Amino acid sequence: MDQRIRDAFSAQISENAGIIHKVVAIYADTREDQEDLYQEILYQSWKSYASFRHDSKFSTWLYRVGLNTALVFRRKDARHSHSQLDETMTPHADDSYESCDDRHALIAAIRTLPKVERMIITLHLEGYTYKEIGEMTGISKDNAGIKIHRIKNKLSETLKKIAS
Amino acid sequence: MNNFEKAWKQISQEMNTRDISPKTNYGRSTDSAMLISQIRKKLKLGMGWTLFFLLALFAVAVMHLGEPQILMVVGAGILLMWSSLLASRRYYLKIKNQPHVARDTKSMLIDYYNWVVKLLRMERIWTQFAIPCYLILGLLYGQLRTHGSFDQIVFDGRMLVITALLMVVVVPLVIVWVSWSQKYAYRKDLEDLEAAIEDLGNNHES
Repeated sequence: MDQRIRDAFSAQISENAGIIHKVVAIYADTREDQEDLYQEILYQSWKSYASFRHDSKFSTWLYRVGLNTALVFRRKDARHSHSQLDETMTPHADDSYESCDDRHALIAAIRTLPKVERMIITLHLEGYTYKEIGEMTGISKDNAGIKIHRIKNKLSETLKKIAS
Repeated sequence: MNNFEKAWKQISQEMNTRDISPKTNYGRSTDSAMLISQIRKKLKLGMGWTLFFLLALFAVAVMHLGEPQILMVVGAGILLMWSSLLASRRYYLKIKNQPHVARDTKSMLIDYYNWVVKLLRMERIWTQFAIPCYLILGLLYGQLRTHGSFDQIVFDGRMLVITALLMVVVVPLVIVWVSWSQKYAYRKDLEDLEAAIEDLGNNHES
């Protein structure tokens, strides 16, 4: 029985692996932190899997678990200074906007936002409605709309700065 | 905005091609610096020490099996330790078993905040109650060992002065130190949590 649940979980995780990779890319700066956050999200997802009621899509549930885990995840300071940056999704500081493609620029701009705002804009970019974002984060639909508008403005400003 | 969405689509496409490592162990926590891990570790450590002192008190009780009055004093200590262990265990299991990250973000953060505040309050109240109790029990134990029974205990001037000094100076200092060190240890977490809760709840930020 346990094995069947584990297999079902593994299959759903594999199908939605991109969600975890995206959350990790926008919340963790260094390779070690990315590995830790990745593992922590999988651990928390498995631990919370019994609470998944199938009343929402698995991807929505996984986003909630992943983003909540990332929000309260903290790097281990002691080793931070010795760690390497993940080259796969981290733009170099001296890259110009032209040499750094849109994806890297967007990830870099999102990473400059406070953690809560990263969560809200990620959900918005994933196509969730204000109502759904409100339900997932615990804020009102109107508040979600206001925040998204402000975050978009902030992102535009940051992207302009990166470009210049 | 279309540019954001286009770039995000590209990111999604790239990320979706990455798979989960076949070596992944779903049951392994990174034991990271997450606040929840810290609270659990702290409770575990506290329970470990309580268990150690509880066993030590049991050992003392075994040593005095034939002395009912000493056993009574040691028994009171065991009762105090036991209730502390039960309260910590109940709290630990409550935190451990809750699928906290599967809830909405604001509820999760408020829960975290309340857990830390409750933990600090629990320790503060417990310290205020337990330290004077253990001091009195320790003094009674020492007196009973010297004099044999409650009837024969003589509280001379020197003993009363030492007890009063311990009660008035050392006990409050220990209580203040415990309270301050706990607050200091969790200050950053509480500030972060307050800021995140405020961030989610505030409609009218500038």
